[in-house]
Amino acid sequence: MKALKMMFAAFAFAGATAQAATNQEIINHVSYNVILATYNDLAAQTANLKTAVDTLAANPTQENLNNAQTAWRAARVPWESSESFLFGPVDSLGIDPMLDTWPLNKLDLDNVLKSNRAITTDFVRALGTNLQGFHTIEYLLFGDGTSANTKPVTALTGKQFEYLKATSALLAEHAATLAYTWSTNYDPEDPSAPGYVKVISKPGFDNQFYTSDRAVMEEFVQGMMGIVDEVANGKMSDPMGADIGSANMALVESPFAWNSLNDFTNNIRSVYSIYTGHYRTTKGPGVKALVERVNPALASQVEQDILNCMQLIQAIRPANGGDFGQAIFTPDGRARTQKAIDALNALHGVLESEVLPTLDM
Amino acid sequence: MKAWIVLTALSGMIMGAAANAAPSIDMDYVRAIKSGGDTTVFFRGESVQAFRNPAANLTEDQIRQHLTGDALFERNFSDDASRFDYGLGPVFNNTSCNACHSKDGRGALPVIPFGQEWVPLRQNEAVFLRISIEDGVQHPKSAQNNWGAPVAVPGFSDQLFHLGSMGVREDLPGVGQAQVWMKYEKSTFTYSDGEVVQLRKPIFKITDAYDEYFDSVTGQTRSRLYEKDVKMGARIGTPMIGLGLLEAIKESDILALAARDLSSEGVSGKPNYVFDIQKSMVHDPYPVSMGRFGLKNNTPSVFHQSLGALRGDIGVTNYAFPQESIVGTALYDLFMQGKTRPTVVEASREVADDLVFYSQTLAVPARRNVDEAEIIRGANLFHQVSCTSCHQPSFVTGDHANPAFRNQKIYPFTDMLLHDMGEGLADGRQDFDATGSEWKTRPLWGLGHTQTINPRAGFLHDGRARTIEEAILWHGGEAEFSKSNFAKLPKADRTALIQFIRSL
Repeated sequence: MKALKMMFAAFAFAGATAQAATNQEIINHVSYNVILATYNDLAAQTANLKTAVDTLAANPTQENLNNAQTAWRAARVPWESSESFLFGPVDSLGIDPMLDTWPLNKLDLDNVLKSNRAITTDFVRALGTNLQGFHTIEYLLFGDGTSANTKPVTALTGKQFEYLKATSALLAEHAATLAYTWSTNYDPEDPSAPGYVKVISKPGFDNQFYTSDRAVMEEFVQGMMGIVDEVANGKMSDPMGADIGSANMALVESPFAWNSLNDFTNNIRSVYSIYTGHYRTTKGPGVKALVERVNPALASQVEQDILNCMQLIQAIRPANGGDFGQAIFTPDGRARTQKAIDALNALHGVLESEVLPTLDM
Repeated sequence: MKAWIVLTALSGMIMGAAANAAPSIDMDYVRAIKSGGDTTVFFRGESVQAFRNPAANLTEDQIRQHLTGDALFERNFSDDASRFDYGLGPVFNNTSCNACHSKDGRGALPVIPFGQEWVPLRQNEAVFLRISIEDGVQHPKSAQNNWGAPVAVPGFSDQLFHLGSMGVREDLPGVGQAQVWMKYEKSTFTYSDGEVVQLRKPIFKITDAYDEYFDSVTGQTRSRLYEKDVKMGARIGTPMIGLGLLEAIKESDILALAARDLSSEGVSGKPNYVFDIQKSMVHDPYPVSMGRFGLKNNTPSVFHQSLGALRGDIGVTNYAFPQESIVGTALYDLFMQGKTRPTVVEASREVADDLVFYSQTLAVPARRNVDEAEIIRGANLFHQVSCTSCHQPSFVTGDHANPAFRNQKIYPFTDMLLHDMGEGLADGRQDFDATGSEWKTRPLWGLGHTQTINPRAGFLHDGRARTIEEAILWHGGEAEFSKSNFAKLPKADRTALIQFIRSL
């Protein structure tokens, strides 16, 4: 019955679709102006972080530490805003684990820092993925996050500066590679392979990965569904546990910088970008334009639902300081978390049962 | 006595099956959509999410258990004893299941940037080496040889662990038993119409073995690992879909396929009979079952395969495999000096069981574009060139502990049997009844999503084939007949056949 209603809606609004974006326009805009733009921002922000860390190491003042912390938070934004489109080279080249493996192996990190080895970029490259990337840098810049998310610059040792320099250079290198694979060449073994943005924006029978524009559209929607589910039922539910007694700080992502709620919000912001086509100051057609053709009311409702989820996640922040890792240990914080989880699960349901079927209408 | 009875019973079953007419190919596969029967999930396009869903017919409680297993599958195990996710190592090939079965799909070989030659295997690779001593003799199965298992390399194991926890190798942090390096050997295949396909095969070398020493007499660096009788074979992470269904295929149906007379095509599939940890755990005096999983059918069940990999690949001991793989080696003894030997296993029973359940219950995606003329044509060509002789299109499943898998018409495109695939693919290692050139027919279901999930995913046991076409062209031995039939087809027909495989 629902499908039938939607068909009538499609006929009713047939007149309005004359000006609507075509599938190809949606795919082009999302591929170039959302996905590729996000990876370009990630490359730029991680390069800034590397510079800020180098400056800090050369001149260890509290101000320079604050600047490096700010640069870490800024670099985190495009990365977390890419999680609704974790497909293509980010996986095939293993870049995701090199940037963002959690948990950090503190025990091994301490051992490396205690040793007499020279710590270079290549040395860190050869270590495990849980000894590099965002969270290693986070731990060294912010401290252990237990009672506060600040660290006096005097607590940083010479070895820690060496490690910070090496691992933030590696982070910037991997992020630059990721941007390059999307813009220019997705397979370093094959110089004739184009940038992945060209692959995904030109689906067809001869496309090795996507045989139709519908396939790409489905990938966009599945990606949105995937991260909405992950934030609700992985990133928030797992650390929260069944009750305060089973809440687990060791499962909280970005606990040292107290950045979890911003991470989750940016995850959902990436859903918003794919859906609306709005990324930073850029606007253009997204998946919403497709839904609008079939059901304009649903199209607007989904946008509102996404924004609402972002607000509910931010609302988890404890009034008296702290972040997600602190909220899940208080009854009020847990209630606010549950509210966000419920809204995300409802959004997931709408994406699956109402947005996805519009691809076939 | 028990062993004799079992063997007699088996040969009776084989003979009984042989007396029947060879099972014919059910051509309904051409248009079949629900590859996994009622467990099937639907994606109309290709998707990176295509292998990540629970079987469609699970109960709510089962979905809950599946989701718990899902989180565990992604868990990065740690060697920090103060953490809840402790258990990694001391030596390992990766830190999570997901690392080698990314998004539950196929792995890729390490990147060798254009213009470079050897690269080291690091943590990010979905590949490791199996190693064993090969003396060319197949000994009768007995408790002494682990019922026909490969002979471990003294001081090592039957798997080379290239990564290690901190402190395992003070000289080389992060390295395990040895460093592994890879490069490609390139070749070409030329069709009769003149079209040339570039092929590549990974070649491995080992350096920095932990037992390495300089032999001043010969002037050579030596290790037990570098001796001539050590054979190695690469293994890449394979897709996780439909494994519970494969477990539910009736043994008699598989044996009936083994009994077929396909000698005119040079095909003679055979089952493997392998050590069964579940039988061993209940003290069965002959703990051997038919193999179904692993690239040489060397494990009998998802339970055995998953928990073997948990202990082997990641070094997380569990109730099926309670000891580290390298117990009894000098490297382990050195690492454990001054430490207390563990008295409990690292993964709880719940963690182990949830991982097994997860591995059994990942859904097979539905086929796509089955009504397109080109794909129907390709599907018929698939049978015409005899791909179906080994890539058996369908089965009706029998019994299984999980009702979701019972009595399902499924389309896995595998006969579950071993076939000699020729020298080009051989690794020279015997594994229970599998010889050095025998491999299990890979299921083809879901294949069209493989490289959407991972654009660099490689086909065949070591991930060498970059495309479906390359994978076909590596087929030799018993598959030579089909391969040469394929190669003789006009280009348009070859393309249609591949498009059919992509629709799976």
